[in-house]
Amino acid sequence: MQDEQLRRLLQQYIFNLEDAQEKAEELSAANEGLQRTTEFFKAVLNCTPHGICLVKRHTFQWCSPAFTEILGWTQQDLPALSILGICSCRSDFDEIEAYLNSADAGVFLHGEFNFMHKDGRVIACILSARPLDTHDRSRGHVFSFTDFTELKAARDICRNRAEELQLSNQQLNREIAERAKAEAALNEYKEHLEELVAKRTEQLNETNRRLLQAQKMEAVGTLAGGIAHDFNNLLTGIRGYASLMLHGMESDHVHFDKLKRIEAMVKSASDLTSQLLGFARGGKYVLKTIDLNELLQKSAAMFCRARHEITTHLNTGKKPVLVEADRTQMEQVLLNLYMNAWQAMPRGGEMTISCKSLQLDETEAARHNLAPGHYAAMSVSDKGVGMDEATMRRIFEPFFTTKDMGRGTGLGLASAYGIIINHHGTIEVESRKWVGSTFTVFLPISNAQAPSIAEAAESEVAKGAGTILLVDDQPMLLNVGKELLELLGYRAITAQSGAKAIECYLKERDAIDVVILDMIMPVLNGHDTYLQLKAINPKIKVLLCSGYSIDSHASELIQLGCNGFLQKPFDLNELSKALKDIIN
Amino acid sequence: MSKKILVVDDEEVISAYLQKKLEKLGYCTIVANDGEKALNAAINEKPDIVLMDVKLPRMTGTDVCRLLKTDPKTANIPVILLSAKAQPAEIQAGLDAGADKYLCKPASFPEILETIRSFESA
Repeated sequence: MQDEQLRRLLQQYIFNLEDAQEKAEELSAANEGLQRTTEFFKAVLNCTPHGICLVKRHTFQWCSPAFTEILGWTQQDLPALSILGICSCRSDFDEIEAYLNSADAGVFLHGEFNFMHKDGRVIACILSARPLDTHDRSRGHVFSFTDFTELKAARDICRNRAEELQLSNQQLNREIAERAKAEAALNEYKEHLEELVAKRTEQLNETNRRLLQAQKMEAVGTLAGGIAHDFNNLLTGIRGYASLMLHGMESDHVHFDKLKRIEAMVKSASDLTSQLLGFARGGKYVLKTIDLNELLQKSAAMFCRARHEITTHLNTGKKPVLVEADRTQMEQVLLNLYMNAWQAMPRGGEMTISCKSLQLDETEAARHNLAPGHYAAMSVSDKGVGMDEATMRRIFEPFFTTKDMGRGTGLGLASAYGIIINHHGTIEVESRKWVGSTFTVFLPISNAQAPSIAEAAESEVAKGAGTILLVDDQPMLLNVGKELLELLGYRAITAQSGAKAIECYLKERDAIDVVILDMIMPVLNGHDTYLQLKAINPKIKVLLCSGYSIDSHASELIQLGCNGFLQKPFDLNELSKALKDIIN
Repeated sequence: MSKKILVVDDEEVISAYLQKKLEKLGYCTIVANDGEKALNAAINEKPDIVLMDVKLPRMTGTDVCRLLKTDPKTANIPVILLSAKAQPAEIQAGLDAGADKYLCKPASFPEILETIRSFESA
């Protein structure tokens, strides 16, 4: 029994022993694991750059080497060190204190804080804290410190750079906007400039066209003038001889009618050369202030009397429209315009004549190729066949005509053009095919008083007495002139050149009453001859004579004291009147 | 699948230790602290091995062994008797009752485990 009992006790003992041994082995294994874990965490804490601390009741309990590296405080300093004591500012202090005093299990701490280094510097740290045991915060807290100084400095630099970049970006955007605005303005200006250039180019082209046309007209004018001059010399001879033959001839003489016809044809030829000279702008007669309204009324009335099939509407004001012009030439211009209207309406029609004064500003004047100023504008409109663009361009050229052969000379409008240009005006045409044409004449307005109109009385052939020195380079004209003068009762001496005239005058100075001086002569022309004669006798009486119209040379001589101008071809009447005017 | 072992001992220190050690090794254990309970457990739970003390309240381990070995439903279950009764007659009585092995206390756990494993492989 005792053995049995002993065996039982032994069994219990053995089992207890085995159990204890097993527990001891397990404990040893657990201890070994714990040691390894501790070593692992120690290694982790030693190598991490984050300073790790255990804080209990505000006081540091333990710190990792990185903590000492970051803030300078060592393990030995810890017992006397409070985490609140190393806060460098009040707000950090308050935040950490609030965290430590919180009883809430879920309250953690994370953020940027500044702490005092042991040497007094302020170190910026990223701080993270959490309780060791969220259910029992009294067990303490783990704090992790990450040195943020360099990162903060870098971050500050980055922030500054970002701000600078933002500023420079804003500046850039402003500049881009300004540039875009400037570009838009530039484009607008460019377009404006292009428009101006296009407009100016168009104006230049138009001016160029007008200039070419004017040059062409000038050239043709010179040619026409030369022809008219030579013709006038010939006509002077024919007319002179016809006058001589007719003088004293009875009307029942067998040649009387024929001679009258010759005289009439010479008159027609003279009209023709007169038209040519008008176009040639050889000059103008003595300018007088004339009222265009009065001129229009008279000329239109005269034309209507001759052309009953034309109904004329006259739109002129009561107030005179005054210009400085040669009345005869103006009449010629108007007659040509009326004739043109009449020929445009072969079966009759309406012609409207109007006159007004207007002010042309720079732009308007340039459009008409005139200087700015006050102008008279008289126009003649018809409702005739009209003309196309090509015809309009050539309408003022001499011998350009759309009429059938024999119906027109082609000189009317050319003459009108020459006369008006010579009066510092312009003539323009507007026309539409099958609608009608309007010719408008612009002439500078005169500021003078209205003239009194005195009709020239038809003069009788007046005989005279005295000695006349006739100077001309054409022997035929000297012959006929001499005979005409002698017929009029004068003694005639002839000289075929300027030099001979001077020589002759020196010889018979006292006997010579009047010198009839041709303007166009070779070597010593009329102008120079006159000057020399005038030098010999300042009171010398000289009648200028020319196949050209009165021109600038002749005008100058008239200004210098020349006594008159005789247009070739002249007849007995004209010669007698001119001489009588001078001698008396 | 883990083997089911019926551990029977009236001393709790013994049965608890055996239960702890065997379960640690992956066995499934049933514990009974008297003979009647052991018999019922063996019939009802059909353990793979029965590890049983001899001196038990209500019914001895030898009796339980005999009943088990006589019942065809439980006759094949190996029965290991673990007893402080170490006299040759006592050992013989146990073997006569049909026990497959008779271990005398004190036996170490490795010794007991070796016996259990010898029946496992059989």
